[in-house]
Amino acid sequence: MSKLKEKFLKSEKLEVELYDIHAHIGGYNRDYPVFDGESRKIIEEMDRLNIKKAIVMPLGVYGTEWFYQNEKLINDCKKYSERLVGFCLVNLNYPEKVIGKEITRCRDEGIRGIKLIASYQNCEDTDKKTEYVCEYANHYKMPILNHNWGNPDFLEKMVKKYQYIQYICGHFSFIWKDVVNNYENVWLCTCNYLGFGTVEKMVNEIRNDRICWGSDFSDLHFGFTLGPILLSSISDEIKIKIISENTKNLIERYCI
Amino acid sequence: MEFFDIKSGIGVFSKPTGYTEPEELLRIMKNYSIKKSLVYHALSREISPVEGNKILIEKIKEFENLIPVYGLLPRNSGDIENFERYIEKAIKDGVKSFLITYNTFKIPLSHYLYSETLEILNEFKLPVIIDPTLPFSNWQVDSGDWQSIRLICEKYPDLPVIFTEFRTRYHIRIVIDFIKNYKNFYYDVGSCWNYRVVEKLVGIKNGENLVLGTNLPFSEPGQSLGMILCSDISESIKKKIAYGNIEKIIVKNE
Repeated sequence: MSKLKEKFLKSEKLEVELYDIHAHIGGYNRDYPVFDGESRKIIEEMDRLNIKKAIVMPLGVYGTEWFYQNEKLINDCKKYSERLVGFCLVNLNYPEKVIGKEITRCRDEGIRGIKLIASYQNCEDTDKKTEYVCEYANHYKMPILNHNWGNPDFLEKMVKKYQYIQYICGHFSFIWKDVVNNYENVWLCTCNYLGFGTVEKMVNEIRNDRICWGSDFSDLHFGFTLGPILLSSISDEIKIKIISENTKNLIERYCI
Repeated sequence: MEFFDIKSGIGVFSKPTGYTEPEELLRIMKNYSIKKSLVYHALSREISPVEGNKILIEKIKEFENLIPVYGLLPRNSGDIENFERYIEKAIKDGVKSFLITYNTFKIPLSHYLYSETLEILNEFKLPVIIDPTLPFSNWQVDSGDWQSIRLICEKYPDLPVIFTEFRTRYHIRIVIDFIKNYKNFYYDVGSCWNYRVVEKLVGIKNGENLVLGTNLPFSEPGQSLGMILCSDISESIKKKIAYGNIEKIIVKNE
């Protein structure tokens, strides 16, 4: 049996340091009460599970008070700069000028990347403002994590046009397979509801150096996203790439 | 850690699945350290409990770690001639719990209450599993009929009522209240994926009212198993949720 699986089944702490490509902080959400959502407690939880670093975005993604949400993020990322890598929230309902000004403000305060989530803001994933954000990010070589890039054609169009961006698909789907496999700068987060057998299929069909574990904390339970990887029948070597090495590479090379 | 799964199915479903036969399910269970499962049949879930229940009993009779769950239609529905006799026969055949998937048959959950369907189950204290998820649904969230579940819990305070669904998100605020107020209400933690939800629910009654469902053959079992294994709770409570609580309910009825 895989050593990682064996340890996980015994609820033992993993020796490998985890890197999380998709997480949220902020403490409050419309959909449910966020239990132990204070940043200090989240850091304690990261310690408990041996999570070295996480890419974090505001939890309140709907766009309400998005400057305030980003301000909270900036403060937490400064406070826990060794653990949290901040990606600022963009509200696509606002004019391009306002969006650009807010990203610049966040960038000046140490934020490394951009988070897009058009559908939660009643916007189209493929709206021209998404392209505006890509144009901006390309200029400053900022990574973008998008909840949904709309469709593979749109993502590929952006990838070809704006080559200095690291594109992160925020939620797993096989629809991104070809774009991830064909380009160096497209990364795929594992976070999503997964049907039976998905992890093994994922690893067989998608380049293993671009599959990155995302917990989606403090939205989702750590076990919901870690369990399928650690209990799967893929090798420990690939498990370590997914839960640790790939995101570590992304952060160290492109989130500086 | 060993697990006792409260929700897995066998048979050929309307959508292709990774396995169909009980032997295959047993192999998967072994791989995930799942020792026992409460099992229903695809026909019970998607077309007819009367036909599916019958096939289920035949299919799994030789496998002691697969425990049959009967799909349940309401009393006087026209499907079963003598409801009480049907339930008594099911119990003789080793059935340990009954699954109510009322939305599949477009029957209000409250009708199960008012048609006195639950009277005989209450007599035997057989757990009732309530799942509002539609069989063809890919992404059905927060579907519980909480008013009816409340009435069931209140009318039959000694009947174990287990709630499970594809996903609870907003309704976790209601689930918390139910766990606090109804000692016969049980919740499948595999239904809610929210951050630190297991820890929060355990904090209410020490994990006594929590059980675990994998939703095989549809879902990746690591999702619900992982939520127990990863939780910031004691080993003894993990074991209760993973195995002990459902075993206790079932053994009590033997």
